[in-house]
Amino acid sequence: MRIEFYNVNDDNRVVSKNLGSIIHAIDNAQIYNSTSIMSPDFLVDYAPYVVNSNYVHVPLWNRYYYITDVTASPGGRAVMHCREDVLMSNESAIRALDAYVTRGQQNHRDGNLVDSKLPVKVIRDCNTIKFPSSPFSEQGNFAFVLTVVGGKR
Amino acid sequence: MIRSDFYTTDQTTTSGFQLTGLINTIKANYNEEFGNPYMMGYIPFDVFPDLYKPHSVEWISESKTIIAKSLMIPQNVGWGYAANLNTTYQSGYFDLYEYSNQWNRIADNSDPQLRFINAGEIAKLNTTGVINFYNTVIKHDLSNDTYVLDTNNRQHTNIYVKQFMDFLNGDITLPFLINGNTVDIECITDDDGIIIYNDGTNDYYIVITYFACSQDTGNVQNSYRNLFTPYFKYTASKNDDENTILFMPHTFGIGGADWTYRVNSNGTFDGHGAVFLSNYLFGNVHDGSYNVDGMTNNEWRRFGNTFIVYGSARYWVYCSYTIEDLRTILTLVNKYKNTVQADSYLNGYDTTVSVAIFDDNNVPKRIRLVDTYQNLISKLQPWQMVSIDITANEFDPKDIPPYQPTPGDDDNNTESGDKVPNQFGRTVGVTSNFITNYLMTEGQISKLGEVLWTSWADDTVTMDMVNNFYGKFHDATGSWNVSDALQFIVSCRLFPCSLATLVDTTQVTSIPIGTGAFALQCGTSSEPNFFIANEATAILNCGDIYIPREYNDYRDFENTKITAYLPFCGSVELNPQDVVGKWLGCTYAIDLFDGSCKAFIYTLSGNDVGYEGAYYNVAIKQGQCGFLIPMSATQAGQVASRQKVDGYTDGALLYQAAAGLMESAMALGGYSDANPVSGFNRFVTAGTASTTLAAQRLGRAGISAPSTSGGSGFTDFHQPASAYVQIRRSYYQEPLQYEHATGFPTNAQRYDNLSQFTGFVICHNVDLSGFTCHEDERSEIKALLESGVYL
Repeated sequence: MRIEFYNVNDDNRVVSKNLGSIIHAIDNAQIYNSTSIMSPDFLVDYAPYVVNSNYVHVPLWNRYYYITDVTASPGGRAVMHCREDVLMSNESAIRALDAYVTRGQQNHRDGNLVDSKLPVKVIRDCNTIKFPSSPFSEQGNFAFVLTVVGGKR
Repeated sequence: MIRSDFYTTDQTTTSGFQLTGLINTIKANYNEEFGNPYMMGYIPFDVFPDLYKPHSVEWISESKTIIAKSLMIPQNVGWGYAANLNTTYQSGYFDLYEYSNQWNRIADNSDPQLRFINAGEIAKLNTTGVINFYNTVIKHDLSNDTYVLDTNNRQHTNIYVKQFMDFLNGDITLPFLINGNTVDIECITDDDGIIIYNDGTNDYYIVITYFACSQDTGNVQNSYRNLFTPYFKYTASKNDDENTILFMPHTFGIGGADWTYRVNSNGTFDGHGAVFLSNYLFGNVHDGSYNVDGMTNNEWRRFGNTFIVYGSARYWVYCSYTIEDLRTILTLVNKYKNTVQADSYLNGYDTTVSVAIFDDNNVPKRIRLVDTYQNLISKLQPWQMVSIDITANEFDPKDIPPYQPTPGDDDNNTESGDKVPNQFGRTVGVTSNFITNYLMTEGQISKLGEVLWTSWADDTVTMDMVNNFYGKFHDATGSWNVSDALQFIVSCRLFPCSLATLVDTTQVTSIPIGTGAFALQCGTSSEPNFFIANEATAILNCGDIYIPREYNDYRDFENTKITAYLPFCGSVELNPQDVVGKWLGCTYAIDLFDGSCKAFIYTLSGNDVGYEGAYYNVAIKQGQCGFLIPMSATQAGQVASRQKVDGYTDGALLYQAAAGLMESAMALGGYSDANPVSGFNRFVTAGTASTTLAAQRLGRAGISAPSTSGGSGFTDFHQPASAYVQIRRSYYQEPLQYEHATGFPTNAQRYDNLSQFTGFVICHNVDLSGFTCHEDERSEIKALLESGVYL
């Protein structure tokens, strides 16, 4: 089975990993015991590229895997424990997916939506705006109103 | 010294061109409703061929495409280097060159080492092409501390940027200045778009300009070709309609080394003869020669939407707009982007816009920590490459800038033209002669007391008052006939404002009482006249205030508390969504009969100022601003009671006070001894008498029991006399890399293709129907998409 070795530095949550240059490829990898396709173990030659890689591509399965661990075995062999990168393995399908996107980058931001994750300080800024005209006199200028019965002639 | 290592490669990559925009730059300074107006754009394709048109060459048969294509082919142009001086500059990647005796490319887009120059660290360009490195973490301009090492470990401090566009894919190469055997790169790549700068005053201007300048290398040496392309060729007014979009820049001019022209109101350059139509900035620029400020025969050539001035100097062009104009621009861009025909309003231009800041000398894109920009810089978020294709945004009514009428005048009179709702223009006249309000001064009130009491208590002096009341209100035998003067006085109130200017009045010289046969002469020598208030209410206009936005997003409304303080009415909390970003008016209506008042706070959010429909009351608060002046012991006691006993309403007070007066008067009248002193004593002691008859009499006099309202008495006079609004907003702290780590709520909230997104996204309730993978894989994909992935 062919396995291509890479060294990937992207976060696991990156859908499209930057694979960089292929470090090495082998065609003689063997499946080690019965294994899940999502977390397979491969029996490979114990070589520097095995321990210096952290990511592999298995063309036959059309899947990408993180190398989670390598167990050295006698006889110059090694068991390479892997876990599937479901994002990279399904990259094109994910990008073609229609979905509700609730959070995203700045360029898709809707400022009118409340962001409940944004930290809020309880300290409040107080701004006072005075109406330009004072309806009531600050000093003096009072008026008296005498209300009488009748009186208007 | 901060070192940046770049390495050369032999590979030149062609890619799109994109300008850097600023995120969250200074929008707080102009209260922009628009969400993300500071975007970048592509240079209009129309610009391209004109830039390279030699002075002496007429392009006749070649299409723009052919011309452009020819210019993209690497070639020796005669001064020792190939045309691959072009620079790729996209998404944070660009080519770097240095010049010693020739141009040396030291890095380009394909160099992986260059890729670490992410958007947050990308340099800003100034007009000379020198890269300014701006570290967003420490917010420091690294330009003077940055150098570049090439693969031979040579250090380069003069770094130039060159650009290479893929015009076939919509990008346009920008011009560069060629000067004899040397080459300077005019980094004008960021000289287009909307530019906001502060002129050192309180105004921020938005400058929209494209300009290019290159020196001819053809037959005419030392001649410059100056290219001007207005981004918007129309004038936009707020009342635009579909067919007549008008956009008149605040100023427009073309500047050279030491001169600047402005287009006057007629659309012509002041005194220089170049004719422009005001509604089409460059639409009628004619080819020809013009004398410009002593420089004769500057040749003007118009090519499509651009024109070129050939002359002996480099010029620059600018158009500046007010902040209000920016709103209009952005709204129109958003509105018409997808609706207008090419060559109509936008003439095929890509209408994405770019933003930069001018410095004090109107040099674009020089981002400096200078004083005039201190406030702006303080608001700068990390530089980031942003690209919002506003074509994807449908026109949303919420993007329409709110109507903002100018404030009304500041006096407290309701006059014609004042921006107050018509509801306050109604008159509430006194429709009967049962009751009358007299506006009196303090001196007149004092005189009234003198007339009523001082003479009355002295039976050795025969005063008119005594004669009148004793003689006329009693028959010859001294038995009761009709009540005395106090019977006709309902109340006397003190108002903390000058009412004479607020209500329609009729001037009189005495106060008739009862049937009018008798009149109280209370005028003083200095104030002989009284004023009858012909209206039952007085209207006081407090003027208008604008409640500003702070964040221009939901934070203006969330965790925001807005309280209006209204003198004599107390405080009332306002709904931020009703008032933020709007003008608020405040008007009082005062009831002269019972002293109550109502404060109305309303928004002036409509276009039809003057109609009630243009105003929306956001709060109405009842209060009491007319305070009862005790005229008898009974009243004094009742006033005191009101101040001591909660819930004792002013209306009841007035009712009972008047009743007490009436009863006192009746008791006095029933007293067989006509001695006025005794009568007065009866006044004092009659306060506890039955109010039944008084109530009946009041009813017959047309007085209904006044409405009730709160009031705390004369202590209210010590409260602030001006109305104001307090806005309390919480601070929001956006952590560094918040966009990257958390993301923002998206305007998507919709079913959309993920290919539309880049960077961090979180999806909701993902439906993976159609995915050809195993169930466990499907579950994991779903979980990851719903917890956040980077696309």
